[in-house]
Amino acid sequence: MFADNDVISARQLLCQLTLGMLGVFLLVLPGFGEIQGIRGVLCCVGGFLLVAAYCFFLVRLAPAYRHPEKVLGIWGARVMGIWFLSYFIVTGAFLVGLVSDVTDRYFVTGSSPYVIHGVILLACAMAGIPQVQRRGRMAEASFGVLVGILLLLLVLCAFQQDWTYLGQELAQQPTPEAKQEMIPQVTQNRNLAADGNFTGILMGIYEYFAAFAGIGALPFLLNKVKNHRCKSMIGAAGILTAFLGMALLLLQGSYGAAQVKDRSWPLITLIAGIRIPGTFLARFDPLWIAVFLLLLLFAVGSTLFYCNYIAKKTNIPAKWYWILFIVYVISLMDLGGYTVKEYYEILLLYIYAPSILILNLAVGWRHRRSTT
Amino acid sequence: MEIDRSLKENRAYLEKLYRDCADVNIREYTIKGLGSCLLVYLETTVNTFEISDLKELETMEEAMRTLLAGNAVLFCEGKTVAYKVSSQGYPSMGVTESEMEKVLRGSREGLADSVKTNVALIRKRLRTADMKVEENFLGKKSDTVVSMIYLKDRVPAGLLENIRERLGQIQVDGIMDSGIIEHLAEEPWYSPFPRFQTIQRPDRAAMELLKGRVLLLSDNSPVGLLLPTTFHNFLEASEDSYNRKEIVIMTKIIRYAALILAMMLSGLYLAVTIFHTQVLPTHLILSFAAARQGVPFSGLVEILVMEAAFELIREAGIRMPGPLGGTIGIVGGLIIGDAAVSANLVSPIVVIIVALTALGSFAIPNDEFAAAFRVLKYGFILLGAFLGLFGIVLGIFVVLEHLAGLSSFKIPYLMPYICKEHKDVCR
Repeated sequence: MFADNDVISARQLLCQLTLGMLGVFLLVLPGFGEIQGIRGVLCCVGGFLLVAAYCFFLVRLAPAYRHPEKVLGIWGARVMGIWFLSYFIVTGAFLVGLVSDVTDRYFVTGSSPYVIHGVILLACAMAGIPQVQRRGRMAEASFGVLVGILLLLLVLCAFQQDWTYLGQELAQQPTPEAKQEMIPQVTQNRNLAADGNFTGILMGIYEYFAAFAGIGALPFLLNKVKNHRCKSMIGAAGILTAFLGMALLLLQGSYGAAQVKDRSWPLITLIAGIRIPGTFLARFDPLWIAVFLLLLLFAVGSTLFYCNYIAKKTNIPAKWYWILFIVYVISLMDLGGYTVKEYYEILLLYIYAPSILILNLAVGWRHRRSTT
Repeated sequence: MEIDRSLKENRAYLEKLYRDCADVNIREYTIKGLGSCLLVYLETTVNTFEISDLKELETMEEAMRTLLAGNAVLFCEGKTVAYKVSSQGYPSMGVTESEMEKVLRGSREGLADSVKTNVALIRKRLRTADMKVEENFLGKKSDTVVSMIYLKDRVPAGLLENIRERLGQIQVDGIMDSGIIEHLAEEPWYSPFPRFQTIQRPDRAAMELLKGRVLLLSDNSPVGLLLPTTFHNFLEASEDSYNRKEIVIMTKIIRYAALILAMMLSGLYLAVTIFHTQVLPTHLILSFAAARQGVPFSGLVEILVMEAAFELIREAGIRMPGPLGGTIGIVGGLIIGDAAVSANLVSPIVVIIVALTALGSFAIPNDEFAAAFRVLKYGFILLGAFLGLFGIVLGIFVVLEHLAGLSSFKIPYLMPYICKEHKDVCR
C-alpha cells in the first residue's frame, strides 16, 4: 500500500512551498522597496498573477527537466545546474545569516556567528538532504499548526490598528535612520519611486515576482509530484500573497506609512505588541518569534535540499557536505565590508531572478524544438 | 529425515538424540490394532493422554519439533509416519489481568505466556474464518513459535510479504520474548521511537486486527506486537473505544499535552529562566529568585540531578517486589524530595517541574513510547540551557524531521497527520 518511493503528493508540495517561503516573506518583504502599505498589496496581487502564469509554464517545462542532458547536452545541463546551484547556495547563505541575526537579536545575544551558523546548518542537514519524501511529510505534518499560529497572530495584531493610518500616503523618501539599519548600504543609492506612480507599482510587482525566483527550479522536482502540481504551486503562491497582504495592511494600520520603512523586520515589532488577557506571561513575543525561526529553518532546509538535488540531476559531482561547507563559508564571508545579507538583494533582483526566467524560457524553447 | 519403518531403528535414533535428557521418556507399548508402538514424551508436559488432536507427522524433524513443543509422539512398527498426541503442553501462567495496561472499562483479561492460549483469546473475539494464524519458528536453539495473526480481508496488500521477509531475516539462537523480535526487526536502530506497538490485552488486539493491523505473538511472552504502528497509535488506550466521544477527545488532548510536558518542560524552564526572563511576570521572577536563594547549583545542575534522582526512584520501584515498590515511591518522592528542598540542595520550583515532567511521561499510554520522550528530554534540557528558545526550536525541528523520516513497515510514522491523499502517494 505504501512505499518509500521518493514521491510526494500535491498537498505535500503545497505545504513545502508555503512553509519554505512564509517566514522569509513575512520577515523580509514588508517595507522592502515598493512592498509597503496598500500600494504594496496591489504589487503583491499583480506579482501573484505573474507568478500564477509562471507556474503554468513551469509545469509544462517539467518533462524537459526529467533528463536535462537530453535537452541541453551534458555540459549545457551542467552549466545550468551550476547556475541554479549558485543561486541556492547564495540564498541558503543569506537565510542562514538571517536566522543568525534573529537569534542574536532576540534569543542568544552576543552569540558567536561561527557557532550559530554551524548549528543551523547541521540541524537543517539532518532533515535528510537527499529525501524529498521526508521533507514533504515534515511540511504536511506541521503545516496546519504553523499556519494556524501565524493566522492567529495576524488576527491578534488587528486589535492594535488605527484604521485612519490606512488612508495615508507613503513618505517620499526613506529616513536616514532607516538607511542605517538592515537596509544594505549598496542599495541606498537606488532611487525609490515612493510616490505612488505607475513605475513604482511595476517595480513593486517585479520585486514580488523576484522573491519567487526559487520556484524556477521546481521543474526539477515536479516529476516527483503526483497530480495537481499547478494547483499546488498557485495555491502556495496564493497563501503567501494573502498572508503578506494582511501583514502589509496591519503594518500600515499600526505604524502609519512612514514608520514601516524605518523599521527592520517590522512584523516582529508588531507582534511584540500583542497582549493576551491574564498575567500568565509578561511577554509572548519570544514565543511568536520562535515560530518564525522554525519557518526560517524550513527555508534553509529547502535550499540545501535543492542544492543537492540539482547537483545530482545535472551530474555535478558535489557531495552534500561540501555544499554545506560552501554555504557556511559564504554566510560568514566579508567582501569589503559587505556580507551576503547586504548584496543578496542586488543579486536576486538584477541577476538571478531575470536569468532564471530566461534560462527556463530557453529550455522550454529547446525542448519544444526537440519534440516537434 | 524420513521416519524408519523399523521401531528398533527409530528407538536407537531417539535414544542417541536424547541421551542425557532425563525429562524425555521413551516407552514401548503394544496397542491393539497398531501392534508394537513407541511413545515419546516430555515428562513435565504430559500427565494424561486425552486425544484432542491426532496428526500424522511425516519426517523425523517434524516429529522432534512436535515432541519439544510439549506433545507426545507415537511411532508404530511398520509405519513411515508418526502421530502427534496433543497434551497440556508446558507449564505456564494462565490468563491473568494485564499489569501494564490498566483500564477502568473493558475486559480484564490479559495475554498469557502460551502462544496457543493467546491465539485462543483472540479467536474467542474474532469468530471468523478470515482470521488467519501463520506459525513461524524462530531461534536456532529455542525454535520459538511466533504466530502472525491477521484478518485476510482487512490487511493492506504488500504488508504481509514485508513482515515475512523481515521475520525471515532474523537469525538468532533464541527468542525468549517478543522484545527480541522487536529489536531485531526494527530499523533504523538508532531511533528512540518504537516501530512496534506492544500489547497485553486481547480485546484491544482484536480491535486493532479489525483495523487491518497484524499481530505477532511469541511463545513464552505475554506481550504481543502490533504492526504497522504510527505515532498516533501510541496515544490511544484500550478504553477509548468504549468511552463516550467527548471524554475520549478530552483525554487525547491531555495525552498530547502530556507528551509536550514530558519532552520539553524542563528545557523550556531552563531557557526561560536563563535567557528569556522577560517572558515571565515580575512577581513570578521574584518568586523564582527567592526560591533559589541559597541553592549552590546552577539551574542546569539542579534539573539534571533531580531528573537523575527520579529515574533512580522509578527504576528502584520497578525492581523492588510488590509491597516495597510502592513504598519506594513514597520514600523517594516525598521524603527525599522534601529533604532536598529543606537542605537547600534544590529549589521547590525544580521539584515541581520534574514532577510535572514525570507525570507527563506516565500519562502516555505506551511505556516504550514514553521512554522515547524521557530520552529526548535530556537533549532539550541541554539545548534550553545553552541555547535558550533557539535551542528548543532547533530541537523541535530535528525531532520533527526525524519523525517525518520514520516508517513502520513502509507506513509513514506520522500517519494520519500526513498522506491524507494516500492514494496519490502510496503504492
